Amino acid sequence: MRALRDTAIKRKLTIISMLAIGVALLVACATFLTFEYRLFRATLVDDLVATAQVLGDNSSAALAFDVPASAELTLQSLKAKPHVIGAALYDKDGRVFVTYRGSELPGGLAFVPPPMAADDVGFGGGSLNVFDTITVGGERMGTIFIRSSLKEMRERMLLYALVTLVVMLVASSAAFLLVTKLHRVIVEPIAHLAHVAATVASNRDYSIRAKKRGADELGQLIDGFNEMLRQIQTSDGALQQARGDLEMRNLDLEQAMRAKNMFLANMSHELRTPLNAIIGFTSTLLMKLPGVLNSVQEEQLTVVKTSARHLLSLINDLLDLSKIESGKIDLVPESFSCQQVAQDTIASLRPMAELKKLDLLLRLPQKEVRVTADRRALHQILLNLCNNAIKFTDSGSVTIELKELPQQRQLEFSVTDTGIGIQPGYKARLFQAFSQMESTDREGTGLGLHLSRRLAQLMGGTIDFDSQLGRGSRFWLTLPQE
Amino acid sequence: MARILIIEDNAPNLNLMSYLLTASGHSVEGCRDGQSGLDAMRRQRPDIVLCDIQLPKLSGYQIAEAVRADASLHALPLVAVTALAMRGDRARGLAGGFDEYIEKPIEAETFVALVESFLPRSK
Repeated sequence: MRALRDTAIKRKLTIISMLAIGVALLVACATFLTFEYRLFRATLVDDLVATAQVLGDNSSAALAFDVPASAELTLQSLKAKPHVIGAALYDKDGRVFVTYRGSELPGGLAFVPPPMAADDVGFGGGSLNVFDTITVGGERMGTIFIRSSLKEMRERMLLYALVTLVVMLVASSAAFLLVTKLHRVIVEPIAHLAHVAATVASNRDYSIRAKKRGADELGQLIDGFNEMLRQIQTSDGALQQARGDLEMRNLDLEQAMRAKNMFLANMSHELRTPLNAIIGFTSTLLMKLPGVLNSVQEEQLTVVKTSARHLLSLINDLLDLSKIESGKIDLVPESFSCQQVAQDTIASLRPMAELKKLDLLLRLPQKEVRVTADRRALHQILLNLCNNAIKFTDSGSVTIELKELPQQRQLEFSVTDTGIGIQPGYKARLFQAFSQMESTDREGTGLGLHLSRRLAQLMGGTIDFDSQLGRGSRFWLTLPQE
Repeated sequence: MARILIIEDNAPNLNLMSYLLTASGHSVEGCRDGQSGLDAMRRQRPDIVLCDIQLPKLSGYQIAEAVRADASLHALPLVAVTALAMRGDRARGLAGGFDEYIEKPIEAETFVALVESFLPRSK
C-alpha cells in the first residue's frame, strides 16, 4: 500500500482495477469449479449405486441356486463401464461368491475384494466403493461390491480447470485493455491540471487556464483552480500596478531628494562665501593690520564678528539638521579617547568662560576611556551642551564629567552648571527644534539641543537632563561602549 | 618670502587672502578663473597655490587633475580654500588631488601661519 502511494495515478488505477477484476474472476471460477465437482461426484455415485442394484437383482437367482458361472456372466456386463476396477459378489454368509476384474487394473494385478460390509457408498484410496445388499422378497440373498476409478472425474476436473484458466486469462486481458483505454477519462484531466499548475508556478503567468472536460468532481476541481488563477491574476495585476506606481513615486522622491541636497550644498557654499569676507575683514581690522582702532570701533567690530560667527553656526545647524531629517548624514565611527575630546571641547570654550568669569572644570577618570563613535558628532554635542551651560550661567561654574557605567556597558558625559535652570513647564519642549525659552534674551538658534539629541540617537545614545530653577542644570549624554 | 598664487573668482575673498598674505610679506598673484590660474601656474612657477574649487572655465578639481598630470608641477603644493564645507567635502577634496584643504570662512588670525606650514621645507 505504501509503494502504491507514490506511483502515477495511471498505474494506480490499472493496479486497482485489475486487482478488483482478478478477485471477482477468481471467486466466480472457484465457485463454478466447486459446483461442477460436487455435481459430477453426485452423478457418479447415483450411477454406480444404480448399476450395483441392477447387477444385484440379476445375480439373485445365481446366488439362490449357487450357480457361480451364471453370476460371473452377469458381472461380465460391467465391461461396458471401463472405469470399473473390479466387482465382487458375496453369499449371505459373507464369503466371496465371484469376482470381476476390470480392464483398468494394471496387468498382472489380481482384484482382491475387501471383506463384506453393510450398505455403504464411500470414496477412498482414489476410488469410489459401493456395497449393496441383494434382497429378494424381503430375504437377504447376498451382497454386491463395485469399485470404480475416479480417473475420469479427475480428468474432467482438470479440463474444467484448464478452461477456467484460459477464460480468466482472456477476460483479464480484455479487462486490462479496457482499463488502460478508459482510465484516460480520469487520468488525463488530472495530468492536464498538474501540467498547468506547474507551468503557472514556473512562468508566473496567471493568464493560463486549465481546460474543463466534464461536470464531474474533476470538472469542479478545474473550475475551482481556474477561479483561483483568475483571482491571483487580478490581485497580481493590481500589485504590479501598485509597484509600478511606487517605483515611479520613488524615482520622483529620489529626484526631489537629489535636488534638495544639491540645493543644500549650494546654499552652504553661497552663504559661506560672503561670510568669509565679512568675518575675515572684521578680523583683519580687529588684528589692527590696517591701523589702530579706538575703543568704540573695536567694540562695534567685535559685535560684527560675533554676529557673523553666530550666523555661521546657524547656517551649520540648519544644514546639519536638514541632512539628518533627510537621512543623508553619514556618521563615521572611529575609536578615540574620550578624555581627548573633552579636553578639546574645554579648550575652545575657555575664552568664552573667562569672559563671563566662570570656572570651567573637567573631571575625567585616570584610566583612558575609549569609545567607537563619530568623533565630530560627539564634539558637536559636547560643544553644544557646554555652550548652553555657559550661556545660561552668570556666576559659578560649568563642570564636564566623564564616567563609565560598566553595568549598562555605557559611558556618560555630563555637563553641570550653576545657572538659571529650566522652568518646569518648559522641560517637555526643550529638545524640540526652534524652541529656546522665549523669556530669555540670550542668543541661540534653538536648534542645538534638538540637533544634539538627533546626533546622539544616530550613535545609539541618549541625552537627558535634570534641572532646578535658579540652582542650575545637569545634562548628560550616554553612549554605548564597545 | 614665498611667491603665492591665489585662484579665486570672488573678489572680496581674493582681496582678503591677498591682504593677509601681503601683510606678512609674501608676494601674491591673483587669478579669477581656472584657466588663467593654470596658465599663471605654468608661467610663474609659484611656491604654493591656493585654489577655490567652484571656479569659472576650469574647476578646482580640473586644475588639480592638470597639475597631477604635469610632471613639472608635481612638487607644487596645491591647497584648496573653499566654501564646500559639508560633511565629506574635505575627504573628496583630498582624494581629488589637493594636498591640503582649508574651509571657508578662514580664520584670519591663523591663516598665514597655516599657509606657511604648507610651504616646501627647502624654501
